[in-house]
Amino acid sequence: MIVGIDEAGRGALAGPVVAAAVVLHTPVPGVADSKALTPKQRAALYATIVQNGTVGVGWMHAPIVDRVNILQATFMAMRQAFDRLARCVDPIQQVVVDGNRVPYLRTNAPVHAVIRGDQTEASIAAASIIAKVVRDRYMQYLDARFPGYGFIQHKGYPTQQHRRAIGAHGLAPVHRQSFHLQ
Amino acid sequence: MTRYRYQLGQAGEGVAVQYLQSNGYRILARNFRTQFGEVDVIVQPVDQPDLVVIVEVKTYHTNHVDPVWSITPKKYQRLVHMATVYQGIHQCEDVQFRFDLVLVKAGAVYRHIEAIEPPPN
Repeated sequence: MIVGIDEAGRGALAGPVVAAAVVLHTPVPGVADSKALTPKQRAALYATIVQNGTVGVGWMHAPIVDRVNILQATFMAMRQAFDRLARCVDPIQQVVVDGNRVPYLRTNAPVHAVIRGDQTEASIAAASIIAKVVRDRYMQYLDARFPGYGFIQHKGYPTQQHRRAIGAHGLAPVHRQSFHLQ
Repeated sequence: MTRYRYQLGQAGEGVAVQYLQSNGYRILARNFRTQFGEVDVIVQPVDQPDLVVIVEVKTYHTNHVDPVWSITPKKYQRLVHMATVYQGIHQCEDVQFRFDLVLVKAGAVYRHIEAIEPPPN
């Protein structure tokens, strides 16, 4: 079985970085890079992927991102996602990770980095959808908990609205203080 | 937390998970964590798809244990928070939540308290 791994929220100023590891048992039609889909399409595909595959999700919160760096936090999230998946699937023949670097994973299977893998590998595309949907829903929760920042619109990513909100309200505990926030 | 206490807790959680599995629960998540807290185990009774149980596992190595003292208002608040986040991520508005306490001592579950009440302030 081939495991695909991708991450969401690496470039955001606030919130966790979320990673997903996915094995697709049957091909899921319509799976494409999460950024090329509408939120509605992503939600529908999320349900289909969970039904037709096995999924592991890992996440690292803003304080961890500040303590290690964003690359290592992303790798930690990927490792957590992979470990959670690996408990449920057997055997793993290959692991493909989106991007140009791979985290250290506890497996004997070969681990490959695939540049733009979210556009070429179905399991990475599926992982990108899972990670994106999970993160967006968590940001929805953070929007309710820390109103005024507009997390529901920009999901923590650096938009003008977000920067203005930081200027007006200061930082929330979910902001990554090691990023250039002001 | 000392390494010993961590390992004690981890071992206790393993015992609790096995106990829950053999008593008709499906494991949904372990160590579900947000920036504001963590919950030990999230399970679902196999025959009740509309119920999600948030389980707090307590492991003891001493004899004098009063579970009444192990759930403080703050901890209860954390359980409610974790339920809210879990519900938000899995988009399950029609699901009921229940909070359970599982007490482990000497490598075995000796008490499973279902539906714990919010503690008095």
